[in-house]
Amino acid sequence: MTATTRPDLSVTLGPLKLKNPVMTASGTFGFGSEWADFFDLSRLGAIMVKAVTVHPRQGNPMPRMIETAAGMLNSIGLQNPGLDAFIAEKMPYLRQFDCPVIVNIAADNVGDFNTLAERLDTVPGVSALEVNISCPNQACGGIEFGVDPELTRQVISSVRARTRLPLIAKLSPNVTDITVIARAAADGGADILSLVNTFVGTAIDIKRRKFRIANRIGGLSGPCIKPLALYMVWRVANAVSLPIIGMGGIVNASDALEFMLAGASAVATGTINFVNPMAPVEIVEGIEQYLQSQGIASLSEIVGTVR
Amino acid sequence: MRYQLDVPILAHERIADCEYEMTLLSPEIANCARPGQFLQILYDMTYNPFTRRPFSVYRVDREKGTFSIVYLARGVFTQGLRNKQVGQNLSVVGPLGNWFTPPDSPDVTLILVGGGVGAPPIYFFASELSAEGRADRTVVVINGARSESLLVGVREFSELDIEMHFVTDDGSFGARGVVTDVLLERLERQDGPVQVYACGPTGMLRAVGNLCIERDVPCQVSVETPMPCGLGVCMGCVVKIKDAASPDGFTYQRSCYEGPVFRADEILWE
Ligand SMILES: Cc1cc2nc3c(=O)[nH]c(=O)nc-3n(C[C@H](O)[C@H](O)[C@H](O)COP(=O)(O)O)c2cc1C
Ligand code: FES
Repeated sequence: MTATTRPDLSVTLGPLKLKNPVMTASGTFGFGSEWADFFDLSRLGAIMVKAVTVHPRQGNPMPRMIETAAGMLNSIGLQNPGLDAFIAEKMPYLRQFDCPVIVNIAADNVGDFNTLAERLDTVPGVSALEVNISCPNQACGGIEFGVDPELTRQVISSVRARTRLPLIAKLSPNVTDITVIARAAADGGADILSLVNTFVGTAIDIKRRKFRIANRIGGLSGPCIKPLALYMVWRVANAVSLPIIGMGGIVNASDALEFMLAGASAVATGTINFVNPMAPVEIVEGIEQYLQSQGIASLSEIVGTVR
Repeated sequence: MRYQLDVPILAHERIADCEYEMTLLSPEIANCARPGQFLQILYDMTYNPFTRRPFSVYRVDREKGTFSIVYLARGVFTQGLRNKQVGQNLSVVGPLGNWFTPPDSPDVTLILVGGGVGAPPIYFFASELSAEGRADRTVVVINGARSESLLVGVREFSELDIEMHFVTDDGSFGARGVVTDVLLERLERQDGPVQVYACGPTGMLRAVGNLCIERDVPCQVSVETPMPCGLGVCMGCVVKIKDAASPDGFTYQRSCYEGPVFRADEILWE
């Protein structure tokens, strides 16, 4: 390869084609407009927006978030403006960019998931749906679909029947064997799997003798979960043939490459966006440099090569 | 415009008990920062501590392109910040959030109330108002702390062309008491329109806010919440803002984005 040919960073995830493999994880990038001063969103592989529910949600009481060793615990409770406001107020902004918009949908019952899928199916500019069956803080209504294989299959197949959009199932790591859930999502008709969502955790203030977040439990994210997330991506990649979007603690290009070597076709940056708003584009550049230095022409060549 | 920049430390001094002022060079930030806005500062590239912390802008020198922050060294982050040396770079994101807005009319007397490490944005606001050099406008500052050793900016405030009041809980400097004592007394002898601005601990803001609401005095407060991202995306910094259209009577707004400055009468204190 000559120095002038740039490596091919494009990736194909089933029906979804992206110009590069780096997206922003749901809930860590709002609805995109907050980033206008940092970089052009067209530089992203895709945007995964904050979870959208049928009706607006206020979310949980404060405190909602705390820092832990190399990570954060959060229990936001899906604060979002609801489906109508998302379509009317957030989509017009997002449509301006040459960047696929992946809408993360959340619900506490199958009926709401159906409504979300039906309505979003025809909204211009929506490129895929990411079904959040893995919200860890029970703000979703108490039931976590993603810990039960049968419920997972039911929800995914029900959503599948209501949209032609590429369908991503976002998996919870809070299970005994994530490959069982991954297979159930595949059986239900998911095109792509994204993993992982946050790990359930908590923290206690010993002086006040109280939980440090109002909801008592929250989801752990950030660098502290990376080895756990990487392991799960590797296991799922070896168990299921669907393409994978890997996430969990990625802060730089080498973290992202680890996920891809373990079997993820694409990656998402989450909590690091809070700390380094430029991380997603720095990771795109870092991956490109890696491929160049290794003499690899196309990113897809390395996916899942560490077995 | 919000920037993410690596900026050098120009000066770093202890200014009071456990309180430090750090001056940084950034013409971009110095030029566009407004009183009440804050910056998110990263500890270092090892991400340990992991997240950025918010610091209000204190002194700005637009000619030199510098700004400073004040911090109380009390946690892992701020105790470590003490060891940062002049010449080292820090990663800074900002300026972030909204700012204190003065009324258009020059007839309104402005009373600015600062408590403890809430004083820096009050100083920034007072210095901007005083630099406007409008002799027709009265600017009053009430700056309080537990004791003299915790009072921020005694010399700096005193150099401004404003009516200055200091107050300490133990009477070690200025009047003895709390800022609301002085505020109450000052409001009582005020005739003509007045507007209050406050930054400090939540208890103080609430007391100042309530005092103003009872007297129909407009009041803006800069709230203190955790700022996990500071960028408006994590929803970990929200405050309850009264909203008659919501079934709950409030909606959560982001203190890093819609705030940190809110009207006192809009806030539903927790
Ligand atoms: C504050 C916060 C809010 C989140 N909100 C959502 C959400 O609405 N929907 C979702 O599927 N995942 C959500 N997540 C999970 C992330 O998308 C991601 O799966 C997880 O944080 C792991 O990646 P990370 O370690 O890089 O952050 C949220 C995470 C954080 C930290
Ligand atoms: S600090 Fe993250 S939204 Fe305000």
